[in-house]
Amino acid sequence: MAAETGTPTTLTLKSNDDELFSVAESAAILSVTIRNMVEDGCAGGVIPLDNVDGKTLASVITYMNGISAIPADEEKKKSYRDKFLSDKDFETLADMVLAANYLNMSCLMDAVSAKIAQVMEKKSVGWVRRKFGIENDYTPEEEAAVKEEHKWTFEGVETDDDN
Amino acid sequence: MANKEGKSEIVVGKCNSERVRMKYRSSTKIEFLPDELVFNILVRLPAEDIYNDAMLVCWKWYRTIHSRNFIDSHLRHSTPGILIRNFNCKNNDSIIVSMRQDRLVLSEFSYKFAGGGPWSCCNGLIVEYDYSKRSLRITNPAIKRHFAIPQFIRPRAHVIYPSIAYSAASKEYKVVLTYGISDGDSYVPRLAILTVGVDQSWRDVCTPQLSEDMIIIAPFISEGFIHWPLERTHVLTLNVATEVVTKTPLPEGCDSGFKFYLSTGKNLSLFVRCTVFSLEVWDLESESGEWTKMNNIDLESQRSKFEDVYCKKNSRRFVLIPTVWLKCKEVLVFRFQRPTGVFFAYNVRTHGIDWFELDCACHFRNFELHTNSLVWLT
Repeated sequence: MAAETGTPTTLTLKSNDDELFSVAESAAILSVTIRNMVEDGCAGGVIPLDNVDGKTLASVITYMNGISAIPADEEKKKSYRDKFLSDKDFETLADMVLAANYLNMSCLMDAVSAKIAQVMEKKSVGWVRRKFGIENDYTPEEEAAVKEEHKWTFEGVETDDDN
Repeated sequence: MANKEGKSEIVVGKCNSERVRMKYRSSTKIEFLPDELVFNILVRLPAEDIYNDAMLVCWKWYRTIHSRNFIDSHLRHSTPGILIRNFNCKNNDSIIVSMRQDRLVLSEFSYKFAGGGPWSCCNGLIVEYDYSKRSLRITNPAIKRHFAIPQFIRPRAHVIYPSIAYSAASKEYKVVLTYGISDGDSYVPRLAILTVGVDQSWRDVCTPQLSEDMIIIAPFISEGFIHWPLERTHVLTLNVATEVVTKTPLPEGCDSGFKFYLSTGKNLSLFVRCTVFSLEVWDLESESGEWTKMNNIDLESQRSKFEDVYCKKNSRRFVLIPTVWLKCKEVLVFRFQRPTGVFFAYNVRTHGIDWFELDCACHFRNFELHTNSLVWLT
């Protein structure tokens, strides 16, 4: 009876650290990467996701289940996304944006990018370098020249002040 | 002195671009996120954070931030806010009212206007008047740049309402002035245009369409067009790229009823008042000159909210005036006709109403939409 109306299909996803997760197909296909695999018929067994670790995948699946449970109401989806990301720290967000990119989930990627930008606001250059794992490759002279750009600059017509 | 300073700054700019080329060597550092993901994050930062901090992080970020693609993408991600200068405030402060996460946010504008203006805003560029040079200048406060515009010199000319608009076709900004030449009791209307960074002097545009009323009307700027609603019967529209002025009659049946105009950013909106609480809304597609009827705005069910606020301040009957569009036509800001200093933000989609209060002196100001951007003229 249930089969006729379509039993919800469950997919098994495997993280790169070999954790297995069951997720409803209807939620998992929010990922274009997974959807393509399903459409290509590669989803029979276990779907390996080589670029996502278990911790991040668990989080992404929570998001998939949460957002797919909301009917077509962009307002509610948006507030779910905001709430979902509200308690995540920078490192988790960075893992999420990489996962969202790999899984091709544009809505999640946009939301996480916006959240990271929000976290970065008003932070020092040192903080940003540390969090992004970037070393300062400016020489002191170059850094001074870039800072020089921060002064007010006047361009345009050269009017004669004695005029 | 100012000129010397200006020149030395330009040289610094050149040094940087040469250094950028020199620096174009492969980096061995392992960076945390791929470039395109960093790009997606950085375009969502406010212009000031990019300019003051992100640019100093490393050369790769510096190059990214200075690319045309990044500047354009950042502009598309930025949401404009209402820039209001408060002349009553002793510090000459301006306020910016914007929507963040669906909430109204009032913040102090970091730039202090010294001269006249802001007259007009476009893509983060602001036209203001520089009293010391007796000419207009373009300012982008986020990236701390001024660009002086050649003086406008015409005998017996009465100038008002300069506007700035972007011609996407030629990738140029143009400043447009309407002015009147005194002719006894009346003024002969004229239109002058200056292509920023190209023209050394103002060019007069000859067209028979001009009307004397243009001199007293603050124009509305949409994407690539400038509009002057005239005589309650038609709108004059200047195509900024072609510099052709066209005359568009109002939609049929709109000749009666009180009218208001606002720019949506993209198009021109026409509001015709039906009742105290309802407005008919039309959109002008600038290129074709066609009007499209939009959904009416009906605030009848919300009237108690307006009355609550208004009655605390006044006893007389009130009139609502559409003041500015926010969030690409999603939020319409109203004010009362009488200067209460209270503004309402009505979300057309969700029907939610929020309100904010400013100094009463702000009531009569121009309500310019300003976007924090990295856009510059060169």
